[in-house]
Amino acid sequence: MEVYLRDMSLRLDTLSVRYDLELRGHITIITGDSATGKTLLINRIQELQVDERLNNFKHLDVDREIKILGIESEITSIVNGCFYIIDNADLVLDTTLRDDIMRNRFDSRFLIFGRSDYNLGLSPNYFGEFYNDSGVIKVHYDFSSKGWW
Amino acid sequence: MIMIYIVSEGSPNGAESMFIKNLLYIYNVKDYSLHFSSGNRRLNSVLTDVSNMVSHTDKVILFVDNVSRIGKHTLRLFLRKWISIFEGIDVAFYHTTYYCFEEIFLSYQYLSVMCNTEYKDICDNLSNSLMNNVDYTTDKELTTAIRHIVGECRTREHISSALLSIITRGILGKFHINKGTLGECWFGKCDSCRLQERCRYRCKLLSSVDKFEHFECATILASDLSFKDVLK
Repeated sequence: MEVYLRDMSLRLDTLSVRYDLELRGHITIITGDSATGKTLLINRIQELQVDERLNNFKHLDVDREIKILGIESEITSIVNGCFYIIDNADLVLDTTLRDDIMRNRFDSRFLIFGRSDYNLGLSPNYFGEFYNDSGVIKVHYDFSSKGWW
Repeated sequence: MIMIYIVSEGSPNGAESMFIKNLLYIYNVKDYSLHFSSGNRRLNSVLTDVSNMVSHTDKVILFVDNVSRIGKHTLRLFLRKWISIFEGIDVAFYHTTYYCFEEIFLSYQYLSVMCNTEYKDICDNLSNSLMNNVDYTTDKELTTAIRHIVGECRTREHISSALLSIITRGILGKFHINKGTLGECWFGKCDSCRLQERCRYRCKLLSSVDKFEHFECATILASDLSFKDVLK
């Protein structure tokens, strides 16, 4: 698995699933129907993280730690410098966490799965949806407009 | 006859409204209909009214900031919906793509030449970010410098608005922009101006049309929406 954060690209290649995600800016919000691969991505990353811890394998070649925030997550605040994937943002993102994200947006990266903009001030350029391109899950963005970056 | 319907999320007395009226005057547009929703709550109903008036040769231009919610929709879904509706009735639909109206002027590449020297670096950095598709709010150094000037503002729109007002207030001539003011020197004629020699506006003495065309090319307006083409 390769993860490039500065270039805003996230690639995951396992036997069962392939992802090639071009992420935008410091915060990208992925919307769209269920069963498009959002939860699957989180599950796969969590599995790889567990395997790394148990077997001392190096699956995740990243320049920063990936942290998953979901309904069952025990993480309650944002640590500077990490890459956060936030699942079920409608339920997870409260005002405190949102303010935490805004404070840490300079040094951290966020991939958010949800339906709203959560008052993060993001323009339509930063909203995407997963789609399957011949077996590889990628991000489609409706807008890439000058002025909205 | 092609009718141009202009729908603005702003108020009829705001700077954006003056900007729109300037555009209509500069390009000598006669057949138009202006609609202001004065905020995003009524924007959907105003567009609904307009969609019931248009015929298939008409054009609709929506001036909208990057508001977080319009009714139950994000701006992205709201635009997707209206793009689809106007496509369905075969009406040309255009919308602005600036984060907020003030960022048009903050992106102007020569603002740093006109402003007080203390704001020069900020103007250059901000314009470079906006023109090169970089979200300046993720630049810690730049946002800290801006906050030093404007103080604590909650949103990017408030920051831009306060910053533009402060910067343009100090420019020689009538260039000040705030919520209800759009300095007439930006697009007006310079014929009777006594400050011509000292004015540092790059396109002083040009006609209104030439001023706007220069401005459009040197700001974030230089995108797929060309007002000259749309307002023909």
